[in-house]
Amino acid sequence: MLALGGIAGLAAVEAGLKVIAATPLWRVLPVIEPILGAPDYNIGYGFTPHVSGIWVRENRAPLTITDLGLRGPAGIEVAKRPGEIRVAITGDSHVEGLQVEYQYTFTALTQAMLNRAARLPESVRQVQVLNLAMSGIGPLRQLVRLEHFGYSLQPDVVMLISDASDFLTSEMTDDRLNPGYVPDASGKLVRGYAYRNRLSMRYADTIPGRAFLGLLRHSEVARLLYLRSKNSMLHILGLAPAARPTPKSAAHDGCHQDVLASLHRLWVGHAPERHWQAATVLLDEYSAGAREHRVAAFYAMRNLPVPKTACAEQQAMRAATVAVITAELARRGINFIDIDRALADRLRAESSDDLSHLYGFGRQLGGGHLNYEGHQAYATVLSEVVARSLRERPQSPN
Amino acid sequence: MPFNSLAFLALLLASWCAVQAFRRPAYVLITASLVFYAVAGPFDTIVFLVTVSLNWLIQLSGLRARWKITLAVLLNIGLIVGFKYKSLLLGAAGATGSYTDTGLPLGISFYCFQALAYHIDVARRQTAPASSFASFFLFKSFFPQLVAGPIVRAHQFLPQIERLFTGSRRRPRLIAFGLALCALGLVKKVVFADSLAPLVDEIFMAPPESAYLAWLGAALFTFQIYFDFSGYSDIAIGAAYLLGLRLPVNFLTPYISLGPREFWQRWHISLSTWIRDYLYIPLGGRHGTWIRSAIVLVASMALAGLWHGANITFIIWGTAWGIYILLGRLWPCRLEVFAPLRWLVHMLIVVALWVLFRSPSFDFAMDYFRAMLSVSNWSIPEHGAPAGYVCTGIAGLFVLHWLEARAAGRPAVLILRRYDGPLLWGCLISISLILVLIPTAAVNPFIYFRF
Repeated sequence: MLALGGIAGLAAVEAGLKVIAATPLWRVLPVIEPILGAPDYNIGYGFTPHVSGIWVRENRAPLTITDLGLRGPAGIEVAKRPGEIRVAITGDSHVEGLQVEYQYTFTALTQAMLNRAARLPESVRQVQVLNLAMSGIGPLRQLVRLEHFGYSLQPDVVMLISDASDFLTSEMTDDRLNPGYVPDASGKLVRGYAYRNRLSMRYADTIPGRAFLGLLRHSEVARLLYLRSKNSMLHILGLAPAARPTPKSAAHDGCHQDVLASLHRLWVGHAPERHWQAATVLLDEYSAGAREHRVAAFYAMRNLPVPKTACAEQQAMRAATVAVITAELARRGINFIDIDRALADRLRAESSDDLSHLYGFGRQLGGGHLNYEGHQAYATVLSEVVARSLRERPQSPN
Repeated sequence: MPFNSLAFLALLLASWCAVQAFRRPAYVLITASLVFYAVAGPFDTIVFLVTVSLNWLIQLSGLRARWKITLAVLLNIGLIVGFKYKSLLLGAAGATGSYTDTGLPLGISFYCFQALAYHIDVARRQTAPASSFASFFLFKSFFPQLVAGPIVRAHQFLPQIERLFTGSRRRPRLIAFGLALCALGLVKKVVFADSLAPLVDEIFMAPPESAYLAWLGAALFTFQIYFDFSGYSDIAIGAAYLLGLRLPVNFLTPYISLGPREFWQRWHISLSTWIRDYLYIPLGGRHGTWIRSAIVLVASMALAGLWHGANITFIIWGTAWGIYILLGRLWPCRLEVFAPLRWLVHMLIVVALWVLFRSPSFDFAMDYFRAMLSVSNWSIPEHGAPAGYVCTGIAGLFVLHWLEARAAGRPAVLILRRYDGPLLWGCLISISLILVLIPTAAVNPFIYFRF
């Protein structure tokens, strides 16, 4: 009877959480975040179509993964209609924008701005901006997602958006969780897929695996227990020290010496060598794919900080880094977008530090992901770039 | 160790099992209480142990009652002043130079007030002294009420403690009642208080620009603090009940009150009765001239405000309440036909007074009040919830509060008695377990744990 009572209690909590999620109460009361995807053979983790829920970290916003497995927009068909131009944008959580409703993400806003733009070619009837972003995916996973999924949607323009520091992390060179560049027998970097040996990958497509994933998708309590199990034991017991709110931009001299020095070292000094090799292989593969599919390719880099005017040395370091990045990308037929510089120019900010208001919500303003104002700013910058590209491109069969 | 944690539930379960297994479970409960408090850290534990020991020594001393009370006041009030108000006093005295601001030991305001009340009650012969250090220690350290009350009185609680040592305690007969209180407390804390906290914190980051946000923030805090504190009290009372002990009721749905006096008969009852019995009445109460009784009332409430924290806003909050109670005495309105209007006016005042409690400084509070009064500016945030949803939500919270007043007490006890059994126990236990696992955006300690 005790166990039956326990099940009844679980059912009561399940019902309560579902009622909260289905009513305006989601704006305030506890909701359990959805699990948006499942193990994916090609990129390690992929979205599951039709999953919906409420995102609760940083800001509360309802979200739905489309039937095609995109962040948005909904209602897209695979085949394009005549006069339709598609812009496929990949990226990480900043591009995914789960913190805001889809219509406020910069991809949706860019689409709206482009469709209102007066100076598009006459042949262009409609512009669709597809958001292929996923949290946590770096440049290589973005490329793989583009190759296995994005190109099938027949884009005319593709844009990879990543953090400048992504080229310095191990994400591109470690294949235990997702695709990574690993050296082959001759030392040449090739894509590795060691993640395919993980338990989750091997059993995801079995009956128990599908049942487990289905349970996570449909049961609030199951998802709660699963997400909790990812925490440390202290957290689970409720004994972890109180988390401090994400601090606003840490006080510093505004020169961003450390970040700029490491990026300069990579792009100008080609060090660390393994990361440099991975970056060049990535750009080569991106370029090859764009040529093969005859799309205009862009690479947008954020967090390449703009130092204050007084930081002359760092300004020079940045200029040299940007020059090299632009040249490396141009050599491969890829257009470079320096997001921080574009935003600073657009908003007449002296440095990246003056752009912190574009990030974070409430108490965390100044840190975290793009807020509503940030998405608007990104959309303004990117819509101008894409519009210019569409005006300058030759009328392609795509 | 927060009450809304798996660790606390595990400790409660272990204690309950031990209480069932042992005829004299007193030492088990002492151990459990030490474990509970030790999680706060060695500094807090040492301060607590020293405080209990010194209070016991005061009792053992052969001094006369008056000297015992004097020593108890010096010790317990001195500890509170030293830990809580040092910064405020040094700042007010214009002291310059650096000094170390020590952290506030967990629950010090509660256990020091409880100790002081104990000595006064013993001196007045309202209760027999504790028979041993062990019983005194358990009286002070009983973990469900240790860090945030209810502030128990010796004559109510000490006999129950003594029975734990003699083996003649009464076992709880309605387990579902204790479990239901714990589950209710967790619902209040996890579902409501922790959900309202981020919204309140965001609005109170800076004085709002619109009256809409100002009133919204104040209204949400009104319920946040109620759910937080009454939720804690419910868990404390429920946990104590399961362990065979009865703690006094601390909240009686205060937001259905129609006036200030009734409010304080329903809000934090253990503190308001402590202030009444050990401060207000000894200072003269309503005796003497009208002016004298008014001063005593306002001063008592000001000190009650000061108890909450070392900030001028708390003192002003308490003083404002004292003046409000005084006005309620001067112009009582007993006409029932005006009851809804009285309630509305009274609630508006309560909500406004909470702004003082929540504000980090006096200037902030004044700016906040200015925003509340800027009736020409009712702008709603662009990406916020529609005003209709918000008003419905606030109204819903009041309806819930009214339902709690109706359902709590005898009707609930009758239902629990009827369905008491393993099925209901299992249901309440699983609800409690799931509730403590619900993640929150940030850790929100119980508000009164900070006092």
